[in-house]
Amino acid sequence: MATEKKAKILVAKPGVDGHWRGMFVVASALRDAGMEVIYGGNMPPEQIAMTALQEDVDVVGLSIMTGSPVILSSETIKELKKVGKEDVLVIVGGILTDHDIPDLKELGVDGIFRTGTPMPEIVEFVRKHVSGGQ
Amino acid sequence: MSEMEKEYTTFSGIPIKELYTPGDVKDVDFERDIGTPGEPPFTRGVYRNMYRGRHPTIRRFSGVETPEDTNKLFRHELELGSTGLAIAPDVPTSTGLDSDNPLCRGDVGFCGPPIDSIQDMEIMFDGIELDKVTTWTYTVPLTAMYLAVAEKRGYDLKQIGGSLPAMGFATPKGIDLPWSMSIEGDKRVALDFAEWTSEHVPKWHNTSVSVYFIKDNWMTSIQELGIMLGAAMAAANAWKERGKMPLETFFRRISFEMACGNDFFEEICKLRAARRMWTKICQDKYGITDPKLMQCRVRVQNHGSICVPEEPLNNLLRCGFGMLGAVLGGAQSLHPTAYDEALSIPSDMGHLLSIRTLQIIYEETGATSTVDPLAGSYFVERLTNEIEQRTWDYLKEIEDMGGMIKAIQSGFFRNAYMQANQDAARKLETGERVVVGVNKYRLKPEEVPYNVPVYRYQPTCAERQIERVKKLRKERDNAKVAEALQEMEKVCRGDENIMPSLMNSVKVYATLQEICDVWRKVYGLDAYAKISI
Repeated sequence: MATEKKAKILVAKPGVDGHWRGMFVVASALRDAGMEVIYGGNMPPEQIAMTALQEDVDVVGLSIMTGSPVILSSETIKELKKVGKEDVLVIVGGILTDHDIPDLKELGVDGIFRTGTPMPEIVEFVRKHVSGGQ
Repeated sequence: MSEMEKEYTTFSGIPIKELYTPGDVKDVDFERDIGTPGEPPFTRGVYRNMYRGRHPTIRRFSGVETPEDTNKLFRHELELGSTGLAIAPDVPTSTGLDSDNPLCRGDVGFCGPPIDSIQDMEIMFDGIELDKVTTWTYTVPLTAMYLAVAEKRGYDLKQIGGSLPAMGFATPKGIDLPWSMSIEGDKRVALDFAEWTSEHVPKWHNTSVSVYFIKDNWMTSIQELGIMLGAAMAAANAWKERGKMPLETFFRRISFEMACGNDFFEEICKLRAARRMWTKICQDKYGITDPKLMQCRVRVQNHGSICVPEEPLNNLLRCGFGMLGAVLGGAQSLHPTAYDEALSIPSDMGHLLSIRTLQIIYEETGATSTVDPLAGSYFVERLTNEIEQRTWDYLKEIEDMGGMIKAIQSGFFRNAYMQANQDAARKLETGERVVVGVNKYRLKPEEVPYNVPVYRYQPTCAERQIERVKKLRKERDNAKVAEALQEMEKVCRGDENIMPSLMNSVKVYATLQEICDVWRKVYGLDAYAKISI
C-alpha cells in the first residue's frame, strides 16, 4: 500500500492562559499515534492562523481552560478565514460547558472534546477526518 | 489480576504491606520522632491543642467575572462561614496584563475578576473589615494594591494579615507563558517585598512557599514535598546572602501551600513528615533555636485535576475525603475544591457545598476533637518515615544538581512535569489509575440520574472592564503615574527596596501591567519554563 502523507496538526492555546497540561497531553498522544504535531504553546489567534498557513497543517487544535471557548475559537476561525485557511479542520478541547457547545458548533468547530475525553477518541477523530490520517 | 499478584502501592509508588505490626516501627523513638504537639519536631502538629484552639481557616480561592461580583461573593462566603479570603483573579491579572491589552481578549473576566488597578481592589473589598479577615493575595503587585486600599481606609498596616505564594522564584513554574518574568526578577521583587513587609506589615505571611501545582500536574508526594522544602531552603539561602535582615525574620512568618490528592493515608503522612523535616532543616541547617520559628504551617487544597466532569457529584466525595485527610494530617488552612470545577467556575451550589464540607468535618465527624488521632498507628508512623526518607533522597538529588535554582534552569522539573502528565494520561487509559465513573463503572451520559447547575458567564463583563480601564487612563493624573513608574524603574536598577515606589505607583493608579512591564524591562523574561513535545 502506498504510504500516504502524515496528518499535520498545530496544537495551540489561544489567549493568555498558561495551563498547558491539556494541550501537552493531547499533542503527545497525536504524536505517539504517528502524526506530525506542531506544539504551538500560547499564541494569539493571528499567529495561530499564520502558523497554520505557513506550515500547511490539516488540523488546528485549540486548547482552552480558563478563557472563553466561544470568543477564543471565534477569533481564531476569523483569522483562519482571513489568511484563506478556512478549509482546515478545527478541533477544540478543554473546559467547555453545555452552554458553550451549541455556540461552538454554530461557529463551525468540527470536533469538540471536553475535559476527560479519552485520547484514543481524539486520535480516531483526526484519523477519520483527515485523508492520510493513519 | 488475582489478589496474590496485585501490587499495592501508594499514589507515589511506595509499596504497601498487607499488615503492619510493631516490627515496622521498631526504630521509632517516641520522644525524638513523634513527640508532643506544639513542640519540635512538630510531627503531631504545630500547636499544643491544635483544633481545640481553632479550626483550620476556611479560605477558598475564589473570584468571579467582575470586582463587583467578587465583592458580593466574598461577603456571601463570609456569611456562610468562611474565615479567610483568597483572590482568584482572571488569568491576565495573575500574569500581569491589563484588560485592554488585545492579547487578553477572550480571557478578561473568565475564571475570576480582572484587577487592573487599585480601583478594582477597592471595589472587591468594599464593606469587608480588613482587620477582621486575612486574605491570600496571589502576587506582589496585587498585595501592594490590597495594602494600599487598607491604608486608604485608615487601617494600621500592622493590623493587616494575609499571605501569598511569596517565594515563587524558587519553585519551578507551573505555567509556561512568554511574558513571565525572569527568576532573577522574581527573586528581587520577592525578597524586597518580604523584607519591607517584615517591618511594615508584620502579620503578613511574607516568605511563604506554594507547591500546589506540583501535584496538580500528577507528580508524587515525594516530589511535592521535596520541591517545597528545597524551595524554602533556596529562599532562605537567598535571604541570608542578601544579609539585610536577621535570618530569624525569614522563618518567623513562613507558611506553605500544598495540594492533596486521593490517596488518603499518603496525604496524612505527607503533612506529618513535612513538619518533622522542616524542623530538622531549621535546626540542623540554619541553627534556628526558637521552636516558634520551626513551625511548618500548611494550607491544603484538593488539586483540581482529581475533579472530572463525569458524574460531577463524585468530586464532592473525592474532595471531602481529601479534606478529612488534611485535617487528620494537621493542616492550618483549607480549600475544598468545588465539585463542579471541571465544568466551569463554581456555581452557588459549588461554593456552598465546599464550605459545608469543612463545617461538617469540624462540627460533626469528631475528627478535630483530639490532636493527631492517628499517631502511633503502625502503618501511619511507618509511612510517615518512608515519605521522609524518600524525600531526603530526592532533596539530595536536587542538591547534587546545585540546588533548586540550578535544577530549575537545567530543565529537571520541567521534564518531570511533562513525564508525570504523560504517565497520568497513560495510567488512565490502561486502568492502572482507577477513576470511578470514568474508566471503571462508567455510565452512558443518559444513565446519570442527575444534572448539576453550571455557572453561566454574563457576556458583557469584559467590555465593561475594558471601558473602566480606558476611562481610568484618561481620568487619572498621568504625569504622576509616569513619574511614579520612572522612580520605580530607577529603584529597580539600584539597591534600594522597591516596595515604597511600588506602593506609590499603585496609589496613583498605575495599572498592573504598567508595573509589571517595568519589571519585565529591567529584569527580563523567564527562559526556563518552556514546554515542548
